[in-house]
Order: sequence, then structure tokens, then C-alpha cells
Amino acid sequence: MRHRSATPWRRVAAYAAAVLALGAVFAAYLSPHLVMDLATRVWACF
Amino acid sequence: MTLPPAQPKLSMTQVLLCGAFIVTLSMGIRHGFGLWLQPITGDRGWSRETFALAIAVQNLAWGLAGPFAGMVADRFGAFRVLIVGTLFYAAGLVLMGLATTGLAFMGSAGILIGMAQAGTTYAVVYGVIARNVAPEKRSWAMGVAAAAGSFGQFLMVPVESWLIGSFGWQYALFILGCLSLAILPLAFGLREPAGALAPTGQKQSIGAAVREAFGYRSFQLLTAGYFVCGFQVVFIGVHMPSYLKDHGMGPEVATTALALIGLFNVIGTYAAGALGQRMPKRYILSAIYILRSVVIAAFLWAPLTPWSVYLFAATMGVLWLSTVPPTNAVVAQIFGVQYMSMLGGFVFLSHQVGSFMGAWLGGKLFGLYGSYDVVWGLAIALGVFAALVNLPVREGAIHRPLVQPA
Repeated sequence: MRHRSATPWRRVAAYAAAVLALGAVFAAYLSPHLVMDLATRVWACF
Repeated sequence: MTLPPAQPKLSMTQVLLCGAFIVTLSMGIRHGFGLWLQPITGDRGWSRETFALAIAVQNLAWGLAGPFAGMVADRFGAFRVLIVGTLFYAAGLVLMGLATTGLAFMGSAGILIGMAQAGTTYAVVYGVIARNVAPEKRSWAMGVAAAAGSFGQFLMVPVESWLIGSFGWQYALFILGCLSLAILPLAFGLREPAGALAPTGQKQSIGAAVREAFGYRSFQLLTAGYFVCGFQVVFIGVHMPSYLKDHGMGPEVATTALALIGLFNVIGTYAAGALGQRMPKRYILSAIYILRSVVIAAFLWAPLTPWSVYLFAATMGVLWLSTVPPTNAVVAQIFGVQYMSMLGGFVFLSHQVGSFMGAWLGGKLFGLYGSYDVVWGLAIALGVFAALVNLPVREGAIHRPLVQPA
């Protein structure tokens, strides 16, 4: 068989890495400096 | 003449890793272009209309070039299209930074980057996925690639904001131009061996494939549904901040909503792809469109508070690009993989026309009526329409009468 299904620990590691990456980027959006910068720029578009 | 079915040529891991990184970059880089509006128009002394027109042209160029990029990818390999697309991308970003006239800006940010998008995003990458991933994992694999594109969009907005703040808007574009070149080595991972693009099953010309698709009812229905996807997503993406501003919401509400849409979009696209392996994709598409209508109606009906905005952003985020994996997987299922990129490009053209209409009509109808009520109503009605047209889609392989050799 060409494609073996991922072992459980690999699957858990992949999900954990995805959650960490998503959490890190979401945290970037919440940093006060970025919120102000983004808000100014987004608001200036309209 | 009937030929034996082809076996996958590249490993699934390789295709998924390279394809995912490519769409992360190609979808991500352009997503934050709105952040350049103020610094570019301010520095160059242009109107906002000059900037907005270039971005509108970019969206149309992306859609119009899609079928041709797909055609070349299906015929000569995605690798070559990715290389040319990447060079266009880098050149477009650098020229965007150097443009001093509105026309030059439209040529670079609009046409060049639009064509680059056509050569480096879903349609081209999905062709390689469809040819190299077994049908029983194809929808899931497309979900992974779409989730990567969504992650790119989510990731690059803060990155680009930081680049502009740290290096200035012009150098930020040059840096992004260099970053886009990272697609070049990744494209080698999607280089299919010679002979891999040979037709399987019955031989079919490009013209015959186009005629067959456009004459097939399920393809027409899918295409009509995808128009609605583009309309809703771009209307909300473009006009939501001004809607919130009109209703007295603070700017931090808009940025948090943006972050929530990005976060839940990643989850939604992956889930839609994975779900496509377990249930009919027409039901998934139909559910996505009807849920969009329900969510929009509930948002308009409920009192507007920051939390209602966040709830709307999170639920719309789940439904945001989740139409991409099932739509493309159905195209592959019906017509096979020989012209997957080209047919995906045609369906996407409909999406882009919808995007253009969503952005343009949103502004036009707001100007006429002084509120977004009519466009919100249109978005709800179109969602119901798309849910209904996807229900009768036949997902099975199209029946092609056998051609007897002379």
C-alpha cells in the first residue's frame, strides 16, 4: 500500500503544532501595538 | 481510444507539504494589500479610487487568467506555471513599489499580480493534488491545501503590518517580492515526471473538455453556486468595517473580527475537506450556503454589540473558504483529473466575477440607498439560491460514450 495512515502520536503532534501556530498568530492580532496599527490602517480604508 | 488509469507519481506527503507552503505564500501575500492603501495613496498623491481600481483589476485578472494557467498546467505541468507565476509575483510586487503613475500601478498590482495569482494558487496546485492523491483521500488533501491558504491569509496580515511599520511601505513590498521567490524551490516538489500528464481513460481535447463541462448541468450549477461564494465573502470582507463604523463600533472590534474570521477560516476549510471524504459534497456545499444566509440574517436581526460581531465573525469564518475543497473535489470527481486545473479555473472565474460584484454592488447600492440593507438582503437571497442549486449536482463520473477506433 502506498500511503500509510499516520500513527496516533504523529497525528496528535500535527494537531498540537497546528493549534500552537494558530494560537501564536491569533495572539499577534491581540497585541496592543498591532491592534492599534491594524485598526488605524483598516479604518483609514473606509 | 481508452487508456489504462494512471497511478499516482509523487508521494502524498511531498505534494501536500509543497502545495500547502505554496498556497500559504501566494494567498497570504496578497491578502494584506489593503494595508498599503493609506501609505501609497498618501505618498503618491493618488485617489483611493486609483488604488481600489487596481485591486479590482487584480481580482478580475486572477479570474480571467485562471482557465489559461490551468490549461497550460494540465498540458505542460504545474511546475512550469508555478515558476512563471512566481516570477510574475516577484516582479509585480517590486514594480508595485516603484510605480509612480496610476496606470503603472494597475499594470503591476492589478494585471501582473492577478496573473501571478492564477499561476500560484488553488487551481494549479489542486491539479497536482488530484493527479497524485488517491480519490479516497483527495477531498481531505484539498482541505489541507485550502486550510494552508487560509492560514497564509491569517498569518500575513500582522506580518505585513509589521513590515510596513518597520521598513516603510516601499521596502515592505520589495521584501515581499523576495519572499514570494520562496515558491520557486517548493515548485520542484510538485514537478511531475515526464509522462505523468498523459491522459488516462479516454483521450479528450481541450476544446472537447470545455464543451463537455459547460454543457453539463452539474458543472453549470457548481459554477453558479461559486459566484455566490465570491459575492458574499468579498462583500463582507470589503464592506464590513465601514458597516461597523456606521453603527458606532470601535476600530478594535473590526480588527478582532478580522482575526476571528482568519482563525475560524482555517478550521472551516480543513473540516470541509475532511467531511468531503465521508458525505456527499453537494450536501456540504448546500449546508455552507444556507448556513451563511442564516448567520447573516441572525446577525442583522440581533442587537449589534461587539460580542454579536465576534460571534458572526467566528461562524462566518468557519464558512468562509470552506466551499473551496468540496467544489474542486466534485469537479475532479465528475470530469477526472486530466483537465482539473483548467476546469477549476473556469469555476473560479465565476467566483471572481461574484467577488467583483460583491465589492462593487456593495458600494453602489450603499450610495443609492444610504445603507447596506439591500445588499445584506441580496447576500441572504443568493445564499438560499446557492444552497438550492447545489442540491441536484451529480457527483458521479460523467458518462462518456466509448469511441470505437477506426
